[in-house]
Amino acid sequence: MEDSLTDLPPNILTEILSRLPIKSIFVSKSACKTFLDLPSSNPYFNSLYSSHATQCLLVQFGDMYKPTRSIHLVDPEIATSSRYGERVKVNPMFRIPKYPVKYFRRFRAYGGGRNKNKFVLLNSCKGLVYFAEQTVCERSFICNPITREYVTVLDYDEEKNGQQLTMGLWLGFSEAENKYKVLRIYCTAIGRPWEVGFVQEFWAQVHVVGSSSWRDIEARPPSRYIDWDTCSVLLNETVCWLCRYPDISNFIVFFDFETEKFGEILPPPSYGVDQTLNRQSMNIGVLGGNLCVTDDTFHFDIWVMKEFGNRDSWTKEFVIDSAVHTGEPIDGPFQPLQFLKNGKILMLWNCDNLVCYDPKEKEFRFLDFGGVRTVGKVVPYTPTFVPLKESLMVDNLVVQNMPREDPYPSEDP
Amino acid sequence: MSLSSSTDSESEKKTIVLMSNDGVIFTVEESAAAKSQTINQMIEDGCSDGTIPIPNVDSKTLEMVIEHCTRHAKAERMAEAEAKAAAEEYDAELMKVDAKKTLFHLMMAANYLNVHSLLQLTALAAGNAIKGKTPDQIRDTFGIINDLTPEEEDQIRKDNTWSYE
Repeated sequence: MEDSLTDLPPNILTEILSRLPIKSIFVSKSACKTFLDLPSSNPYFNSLYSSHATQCLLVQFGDMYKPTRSIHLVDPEIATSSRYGERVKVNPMFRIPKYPVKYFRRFRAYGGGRNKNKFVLLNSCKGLVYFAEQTVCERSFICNPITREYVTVLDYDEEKNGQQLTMGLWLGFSEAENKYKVLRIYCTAIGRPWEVGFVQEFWAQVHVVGSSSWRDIEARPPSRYIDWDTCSVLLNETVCWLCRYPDISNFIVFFDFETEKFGEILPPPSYGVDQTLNRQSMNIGVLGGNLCVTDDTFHFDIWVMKEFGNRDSWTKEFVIDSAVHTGEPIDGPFQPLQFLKNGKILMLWNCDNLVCYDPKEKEFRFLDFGGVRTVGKVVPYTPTFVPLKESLMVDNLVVQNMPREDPYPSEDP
Repeated sequence: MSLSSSTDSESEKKTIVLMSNDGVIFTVEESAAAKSQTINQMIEDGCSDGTIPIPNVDSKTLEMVIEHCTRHAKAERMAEAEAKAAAEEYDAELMKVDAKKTLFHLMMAANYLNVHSLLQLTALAAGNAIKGKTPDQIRDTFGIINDLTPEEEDQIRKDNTWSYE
């Protein structure tokens, strides 16, 4: 009788499979029943996988008016390996569940109507992914694409919502409370924008996922221009935004999900006045666990903040000659995504292409997603096998399963 | 794969005697044997005198386990770049063994003897043999029997097309 790999004790099989890239784990599920059941049957699997997990990317195509329902997973280690050339192959990983059409009341200064299920990929926190409808009536949900589960986030107060315009929603986590929270920034207006005496005020609300309310918080957004489209990044328990024109008095502002307060990050002390004014060629990201800023204004620099909040810890870590590739300097902005295993830096260029920069060889490699698609959103995402109820640690939420749909429908969405 | 020669001149090095399940005797330095948590426990409990039988492991596999442990123990003890390189070189050799039989036996031995570094190494080797392969190729590499019905297999593949390159 021949011994086979599947005769190995489950803990060894777990050691093997949990170290694989996410895609390989799912491919191996088709090999035999043992591999198929391993992630769900072995409790040790989840934690071991999490300790090895490398960051991937979730991609939504289309723009904010027509975001696609299909969400795609890109494993940067695989996508950037040379055998695949310059095109990132994408296959839809899951499709956003369909919500019933909802009617909402008119909001005085901005139109109302029928909400047509246009969910936009917002951000990802510890393996959970957050989506919301980006119109006046915003439903939102949190999902785990690996377990294919989702929960709908509590709706706002209908009464009050008629007077509010949501500027943005962000999912975050508070370590001390061990809870996921959603931050909502909204504005209220008196009068119409073109009228004399028009006043617009900005407010913040927090919802602890699983709780029964949205709570107004005392802290007010420090900038009037933080919204869905502001360059933002999640770093530990904070969401950070890079402030762009017309807000030139702030550099980076952040919200701490634990203290529920806003804060400000000052630019490097050596930054000249010119550089703080023009932010169109700048972007923020997280590299190696540190907040960083790319600045392509004059030359392409990557500044890394070695100690969060300490402006003296800003270090110009990389100075990149972007003309080395084509002879002409390349216009940014470049959004830093992650370090790859080989030390290369993965960035998103002009929201459309992935670019892989090798700091040692000083080489750029551009990869596109296929010409026909408009890239809507690219979100860093680290998968988790932990079921949603366990992640969220709440009992009263209804966990639903994303329906299995034809991944290649004739029409999308 | 050649055995390393013990040329370090340390006096009074205690040795442990192990016997594989096919009767081959191995004399191992205590520091190397201690890399196996199973044997280390016996050393601490004071019952490591005499010949320790290793019923689950054959001589061919035990030889490789011992070589791995010896090199790593030496690298730790001497903190010399040369010793470390020797350990890594042998590990690289181990990563290349055939998946179906040798790697399998090596993993079982590493698990039974509880040699953490070897378990991680062999898990990595097995993982490398799985990466980038189709389910058919995975089964071939490891001699796994397909116990899924064609319908089941089809369904799993359809659910996870995104994972195929």
